[in-house]
Amino acid sequence: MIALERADTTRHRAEFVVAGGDPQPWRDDFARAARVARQVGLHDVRLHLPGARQTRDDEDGELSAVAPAGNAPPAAVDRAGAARLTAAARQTGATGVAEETEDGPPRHRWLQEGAILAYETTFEHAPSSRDLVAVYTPLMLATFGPQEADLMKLRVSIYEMCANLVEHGRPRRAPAVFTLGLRFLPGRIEGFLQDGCERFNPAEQPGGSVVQRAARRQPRGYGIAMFLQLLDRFEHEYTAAGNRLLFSKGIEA
Amino acid sequence: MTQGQDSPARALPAFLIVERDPLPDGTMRMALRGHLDADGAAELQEHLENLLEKGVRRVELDFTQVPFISSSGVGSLISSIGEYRDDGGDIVLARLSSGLRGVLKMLDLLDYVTLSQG
Repeated sequence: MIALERADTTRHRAEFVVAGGDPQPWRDDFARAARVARQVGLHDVRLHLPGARQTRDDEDGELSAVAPAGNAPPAAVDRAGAARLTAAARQTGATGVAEETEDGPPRHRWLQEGAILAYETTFEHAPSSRDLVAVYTPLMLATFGPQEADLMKLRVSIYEMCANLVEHGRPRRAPAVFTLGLRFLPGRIEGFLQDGCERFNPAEQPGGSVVQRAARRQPRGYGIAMFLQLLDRFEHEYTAAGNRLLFSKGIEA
Repeated sequence: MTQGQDSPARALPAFLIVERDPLPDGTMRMALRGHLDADGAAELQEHLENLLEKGVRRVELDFTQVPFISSSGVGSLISSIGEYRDDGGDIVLARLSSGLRGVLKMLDLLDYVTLSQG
């Protein structure tokens, strides 16, 4: 199992860490994650590999590494020249590790509990965060390995929920942020979106199906209909903390 | 022709529209690159409207390098397809990934759009 440790859109870099499990399974996970990272414009894809042997400092001051026996990198990723293995500067791979990036949003952390991997990423409540959601979401999903069709439905659904929240949510307090949580369970992915806004339930907005909107040739307003149709479950809760959107989708192995 | 502009504020790569040689029947071919989100959708819709004003009636959009489409992208496509059909033309979607095709199928839009047989 691998986990997304951070995505740096300024440096076009994605960093993953081996979160546990046998050596073999992460090779496919990393190859898939590297492909997705390149799709979202992150061409420097790194994997922190416990037990890797440091060989030299490169121009970025990062440590290049030689994989330990049995942990050779995926050949396809190597040939593409877009990914590299990096020796971890700290202990990785321990169960329950949580790592947080720099102080400002997005703040990202992951947690491994046995075979279950969970993420929480906090974004600024701003239109610019839509792009960051579009970067983080597929990278997190890729570490769990859903099929392409399920991956896309989840990407679209989460993006549309976040876009809706940013567009219509009215923050009640500073800092104006929202948190995306994802939890990968056997056969399904569960998630939540938590904001600090006034009450707003997207499912109560006037809508109609995507086909009905298409028949009326409406150029806008597809977002809510899309995630309601693409997800298996969607619920809205409102508490003193704000709106909490709960969702889940079954996935094929 | 290539359209699209890098913006330092954007985390994602710029959306690009690359015009290719037209087909013998006059169909204008365009390859799309990048995320078809709100920014890309506005750019694509404007481009398609300009072509329609110039007399182009049939366009094929190559989605090979489109990894993601948002509701804005879906909305702009549907709106543009309607305009072309009103003028006796159409917009054909080509080489959609299995993921994008799956989204359109789940939204019951596969019967609404015209997919390339190639």
